[in-house]
Amino acid sequence: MAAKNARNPSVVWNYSGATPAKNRLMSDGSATWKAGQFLMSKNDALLYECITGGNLGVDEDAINYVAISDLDTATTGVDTNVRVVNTVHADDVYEINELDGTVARTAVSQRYDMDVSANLCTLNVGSGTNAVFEVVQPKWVLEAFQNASTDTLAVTYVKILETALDAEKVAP
Amino acid sequence: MAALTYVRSGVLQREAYTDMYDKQMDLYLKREDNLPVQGQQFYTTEDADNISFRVTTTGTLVALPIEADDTEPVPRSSVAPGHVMDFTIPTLQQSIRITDTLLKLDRSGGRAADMISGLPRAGKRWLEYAFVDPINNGTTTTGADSQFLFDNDHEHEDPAGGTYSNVETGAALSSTTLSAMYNNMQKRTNELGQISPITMQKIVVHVDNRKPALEIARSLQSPEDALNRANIFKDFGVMIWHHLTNSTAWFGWGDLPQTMWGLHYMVFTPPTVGKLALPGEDHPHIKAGFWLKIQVAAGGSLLKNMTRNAGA
Repeated sequence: MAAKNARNPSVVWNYSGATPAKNRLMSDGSATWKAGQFLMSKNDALLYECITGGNLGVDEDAINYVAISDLDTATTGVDTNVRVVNTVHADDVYEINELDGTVARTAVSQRYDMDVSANLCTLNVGSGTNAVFEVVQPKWVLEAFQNASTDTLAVTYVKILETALDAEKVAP
Repeated sequence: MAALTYVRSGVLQREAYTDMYDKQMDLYLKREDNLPVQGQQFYTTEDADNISFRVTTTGTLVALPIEADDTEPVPRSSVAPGHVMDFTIPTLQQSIRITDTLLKLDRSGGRAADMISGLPRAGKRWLEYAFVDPINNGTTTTGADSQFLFDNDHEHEDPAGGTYSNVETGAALSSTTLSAMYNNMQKRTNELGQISPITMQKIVVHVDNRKPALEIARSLQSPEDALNRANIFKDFGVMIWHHLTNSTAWFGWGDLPQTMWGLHYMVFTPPTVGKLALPGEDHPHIKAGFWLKIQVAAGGSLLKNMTRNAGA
């Protein structure tokens, strides 16, 4: 059994067409994130990193974007223009590492949580209590040379649930 | 035996070189400078257009193709960016000048004028120290990936590729420990975690390791025992680098293309010697002088092509 090396998600299939990078969005002044993390635009119109928890994908914590580059404004505390992959679409497919285990074919179409620890975003197949991801395929099914069913931190293709993308914003 | 005492007055003048106008002196033996040029072979020369020099890497590798039917959108991938490293190029100067009197009274057969040749030699020697410095201090000097140049936890440009190590467990140089280093370089992966072997070309050692190094390179059989096992490293390259400071450490040098060596000789002003405007208005008898100026730096960003063993 080989352990894959965890990294933040990457876009693999983008059904929403071109993915222009936007740089007109503002981050929260204390935001810190790494490239590949999912971001949410809250009611204050500022960007925040998506974090583990029951609120993710609910109300103003809807998932909106994917960061293209790292951001560390914690030391400056000022709003910053950021670059993101265009609005996440429900059909877009991302490559993501499982938190710590293997991913079997039986996980296909199952819905699981997002885990974010130290700016590393992974798929938590161990929990579906606040699911935001739907598994499309474990990567080992489609690419068997560098990926295997026995891999831990398995690379997996996921979509983001439409409900987590379209959660109703609360009027500010 | 009396020790010579002298002061570096900044000028070659008769008071400091009384022997050179001694009519009783029969022979002047020249102290030759004999410095092998060694360090530059590991470096890639880069032209700098500023005294700040920034280095990064770019790649050409994307993830392996995956199964996707004709009716599916084409999956996409991209290349990992590189680690960035900044270097500052120092400005170094030196000069030498000589008085009219020393030149005129010189009985040594032109040795006084010859002393001026020490100036370019100083530049050459500085370069040799500069070239070895990143290697000597590689276990405490940070490289482009924020790890020490020799470290067991270098993160690849793409985190999916994991980490690699260019340090071995400390052990005295032998055919066994050399084989371990050779194999570890062969097992190296690229930034995507794909197999990307580095073939070691030679070992680089302190002069104290000359004997085991040459025994390994010249023995028909494994040199450490009497078992008559074949020595697989016969005719292996050995370089004795005289400027290495650690007498036990030894290094393996691989076969990566020069752009991936990760050792940079950044040249803003190459070592240059020029003539001072002498004799000057206030010093008509300081006959001639020359200056040396160097604006170069030697540094390491990512030493993928070199592996260190601290030795024992």
